[in-house]
Amino acid sequence: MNNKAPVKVIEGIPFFSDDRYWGKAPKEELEKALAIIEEKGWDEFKARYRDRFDSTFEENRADWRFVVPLSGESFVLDIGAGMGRISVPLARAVKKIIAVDNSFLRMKFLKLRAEKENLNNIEVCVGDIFDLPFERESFDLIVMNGVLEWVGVTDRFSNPSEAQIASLKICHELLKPGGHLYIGIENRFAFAYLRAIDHSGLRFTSYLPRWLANIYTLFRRGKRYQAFTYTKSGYDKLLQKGGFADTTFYLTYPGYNLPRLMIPYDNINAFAYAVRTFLPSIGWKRKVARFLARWPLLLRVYRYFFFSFGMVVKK
Amino acid sequence: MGENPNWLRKPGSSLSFMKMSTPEPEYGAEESKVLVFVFEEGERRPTICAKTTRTYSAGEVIRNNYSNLQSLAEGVRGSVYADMFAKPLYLHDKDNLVFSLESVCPGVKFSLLERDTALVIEKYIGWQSHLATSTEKTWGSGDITDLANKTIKTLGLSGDSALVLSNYYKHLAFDSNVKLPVLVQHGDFTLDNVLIYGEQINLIDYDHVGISKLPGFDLFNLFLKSEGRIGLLRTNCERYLPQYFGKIGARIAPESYDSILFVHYLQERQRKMHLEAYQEKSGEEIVNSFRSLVAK
Repeated sequence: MNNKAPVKVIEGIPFFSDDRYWGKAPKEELEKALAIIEEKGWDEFKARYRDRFDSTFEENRADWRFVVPLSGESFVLDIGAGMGRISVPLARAVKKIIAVDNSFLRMKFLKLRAEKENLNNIEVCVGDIFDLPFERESFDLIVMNGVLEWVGVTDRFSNPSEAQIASLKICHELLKPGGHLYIGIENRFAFAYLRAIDHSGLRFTSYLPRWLANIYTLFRRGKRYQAFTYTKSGYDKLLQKGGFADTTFYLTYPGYNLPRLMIPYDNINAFAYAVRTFLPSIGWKRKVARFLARWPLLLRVYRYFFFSFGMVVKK
Repeated sequence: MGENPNWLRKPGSSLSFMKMSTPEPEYGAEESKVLVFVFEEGERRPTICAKTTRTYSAGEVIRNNYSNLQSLAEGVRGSVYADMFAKPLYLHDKDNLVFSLESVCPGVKFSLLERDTALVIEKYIGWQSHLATSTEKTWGSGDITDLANKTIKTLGLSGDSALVLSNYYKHLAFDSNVKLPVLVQHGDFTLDNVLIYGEQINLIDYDHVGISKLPGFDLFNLFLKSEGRIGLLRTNCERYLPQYFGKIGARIAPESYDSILFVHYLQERQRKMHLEAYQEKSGEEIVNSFRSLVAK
């Protein structure tokens, strides 16, 4: 499957690009945690670091797979696999997963986790999406969950959207004919960004025109605004430029990282049904939501401000 | 699936799919399911619901759910309660894949608590009285005492604690002439598992059907788990249990209600005993917690 040799191999993990750590916790803390796993085992790790890393042992982060055609014969590439919250549950359902991430430590964690779960169909490697070593048409599914927005944070391209389009073209090339790309990502104009910080670490930047967001982040943070998110139509255009013409959009609730509910974007009846039927039975939020669900037009508008999307993109 | 084209309302129309993962239930994570709702173009509600689990090894919950739904459907066939549950359509269990298909109940969850509660209990009692007409099996006082003792044994308590529970049960005034029909209970009768559709109610989630066949278990659960939202347990028991027992043709004096409630309480604990909060409790603590519940 590989068409180039790794630059180096450390502890059985091949490197196809430089190691770049990222994550919620400092690098040193993950190093310590890995030492604890190796020396004292997983129980001790769980006891000490239960919620410290985004390494939860829940299996539901990959539940979007139930709306993607997959089989026990599928080959999957998980880009930006992190600590394996998607690779691990997915590995139980497919033939083979290659998990790739910029961070050696995170790949080491995933390797240990796969060994613990007896999942010998997960292979890990350190790599950047632009340095992937795989042959054309190798995969039935490529996963970019929480990745596409970060792809633009690179010096290889002058414009983040160019980097994003280039990454989509790479995925298009690596997918088998009829294969699928799954993207989980935020909505640029999500209501949630009125009170939460954007990927830039600042408020409201996703709402601003790109040029203004760039000036603002340069001024406040001393770096360019590169983590671009889009609206539904923005993603549509981006995907088309990347070579994809067939995308099914889902609204993911409560968010793409935990897609408990995936509502088909184009089906307002399904959206109204979800609001009326699945929200908790009592409470003011439910009452407001049910009230709104009476008018399809309101739901139609609300979709534009929904927090995040799941996209099933067919080659 | 092509063998039954009537499953769809408009065969040939384009379909869209909505996925829902059930939260990990308090009874055990292995019961967590993934549901896919099939919408036909233009339809306001889904036509079919497919249920599965993340791994084949966890598939028992799907098989149970389907078989429970079949027995519920059997119990109401041809009656006015026939639409109170989803209709079981298909169970696939081979090639390392288990999933079931069922129809989708219409309706929305509770909104007007008082009006909806009265409607739900009226319809529920109607269903149970329908079941009572076709059952000849009954629980006598001896049977219920046996059930109480068996349940106490399964709680994994020390000998002393089990004795405390057993003595407390004996201490409750219990009519020796009691006679209750053996009736299938929904097993998880909570506000979240009831949909209201006009003047009709639909019960969903069939994982725990048959967990108890002692009448009143469902109502006890509903009142217990909705306490504060639809009134206090004691108030609701006094308000609805006489009506319920009367309609199902039971013979039981109101003084014996606490004995029955205590057995329900023990059964509910038995279901939750794998949870930390329900472990390592002494007999006294269990009795006190029951007392404080029914004293309100």
